[in-house]
Amino acid sequence: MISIVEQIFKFGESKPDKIAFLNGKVSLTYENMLKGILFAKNKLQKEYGLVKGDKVILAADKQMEFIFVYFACHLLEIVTLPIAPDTNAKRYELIKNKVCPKLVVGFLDEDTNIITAELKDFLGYVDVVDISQISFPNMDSIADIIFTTGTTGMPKGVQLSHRNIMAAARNINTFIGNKSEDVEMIALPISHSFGLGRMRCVLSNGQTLVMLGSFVNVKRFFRFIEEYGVNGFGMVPASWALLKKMSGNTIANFSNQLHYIEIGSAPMPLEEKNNLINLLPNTRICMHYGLTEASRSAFMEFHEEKKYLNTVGKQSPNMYITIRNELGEELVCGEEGEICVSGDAVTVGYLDLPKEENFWGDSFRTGDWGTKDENGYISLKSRKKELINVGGKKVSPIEVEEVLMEIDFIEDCVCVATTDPEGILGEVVKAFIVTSEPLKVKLEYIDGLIGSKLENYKHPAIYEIIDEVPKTASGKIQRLSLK
Amino acid sequence: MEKNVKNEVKEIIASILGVSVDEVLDDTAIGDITEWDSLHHIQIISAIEKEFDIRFTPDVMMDLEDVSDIVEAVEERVNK
Repeated sequence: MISIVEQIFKFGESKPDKIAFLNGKVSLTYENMLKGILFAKNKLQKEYGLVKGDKVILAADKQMEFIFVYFACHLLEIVTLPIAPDTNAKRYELIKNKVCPKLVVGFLDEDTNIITAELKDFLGYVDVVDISQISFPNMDSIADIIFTTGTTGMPKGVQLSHRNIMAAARNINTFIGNKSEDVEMIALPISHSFGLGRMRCVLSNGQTLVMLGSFVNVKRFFRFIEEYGVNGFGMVPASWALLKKMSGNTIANFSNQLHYIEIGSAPMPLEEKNNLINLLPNTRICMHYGLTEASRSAFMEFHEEKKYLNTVGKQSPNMYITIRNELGEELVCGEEGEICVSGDAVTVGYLDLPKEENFWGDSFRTGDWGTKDENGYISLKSRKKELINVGGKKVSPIEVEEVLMEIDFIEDCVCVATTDPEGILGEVVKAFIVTSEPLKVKLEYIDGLIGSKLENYKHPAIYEIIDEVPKTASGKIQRLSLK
Repeated sequence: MEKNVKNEVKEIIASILGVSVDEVLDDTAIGDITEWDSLHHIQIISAIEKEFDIRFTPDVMMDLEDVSDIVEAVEERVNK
């Protein structure tokens, strides 16, 4: 295995005229991408004096300059910290203080100890003379540190080596079946694992990357598909909800053109999975389960695995999933425990944290709870820390929410643990409900509707009406923000 | 009249996105400003509908690509 940046250089050398990047304004060939990366490399070395092991905070803006700086850092074995361009000041400070960057690109910083640069400073080209003279990174050096959003406490820095990111790209491309002729549109933010991972998959595979600001520009989304012959893209379930709301079933007009879609980051309602199956009968619709720490641990393809749409699929190529108890012992099929993942795409560990805390041997503890059936399908039950402990019995909020969602007047809901007001059970289930019929939200009434679908201790004890379920930008429910 | 609509639309967009009105240009594409995500887009459309007392149908919404498209769509409706 060679690093992603080396793969890109090898591809660029063999197909210099192939288009690497398009965004409606700029078109960049692979040759010019290599030249841009080399320009940025020289600048980082000569002007900023950066050396191997230094850290750079980088605004993950969807411009080609980002690609130049990102891969230039990789060439020099400088650790990149790609963060969202609209990162709030508090989070930026937390990250900055934790990593002590030698350079910050794309953010203003009044701190005179910090050297800053703008992305546009890195727009330039240096001729590629001889690729054999370029030294490529060691696979075990750290390529990126990605800070997870974290629903509680401090964000954690997930360290990903060159081996990790290349292995993830290889696994994903293998499962989806990508070819270098593919033209992919990225409308997701590239500051998060999903979008950044897609960018690495596309470029390491010699494909063409079409960048779009956001799915919110539905007109441009469909125009780009048509104009550039886009045949694949990645989306989160919220992107699909938006596309559907704003364009109905327009996507079906491209059913013969779209070869693949990757979906991830949040659960998707079964109804929508079936909807996509019907709208796109010829498209590989691949949904992943994964974390920044263990990119795309599991995968499934909707058409081929239609019987298993209620699971998160099976372990991805070259990834190994085990279900373990609290002692780290592997459990048998059907038993519920912590989902643990090993494989060379799994993080080498968190920044400044001992590895033992989050691993059983080489197996990363996801903190998610679930089961594995005899065919290897993983069903996700809950985030471990979000389990509700009712009188010693563990309750998965997801399980309760699924039952509540079957009730016709409940539009959305979220369940959390709350202190038992009777002072007996410790915790009970509290349900926050989104509805246009608030008068129906009565404990006894809903209790009757749930009936035996849930054991008694799993029935919510308290209901509260809210306007909307708080979610992160990627669509994950922020359960812990409700109490 | 036209100039006012344009300025007002830009001010609404800038205030919802929390950016300077100078960043909102005629050819700024929807979604090109980082803050312009789906949530903010829906807020922008609602605020414009309320401000000008108009409604955008899904057909019209799907035809909006940049700021000038939004301005034109508003002008067509307020001038009716």
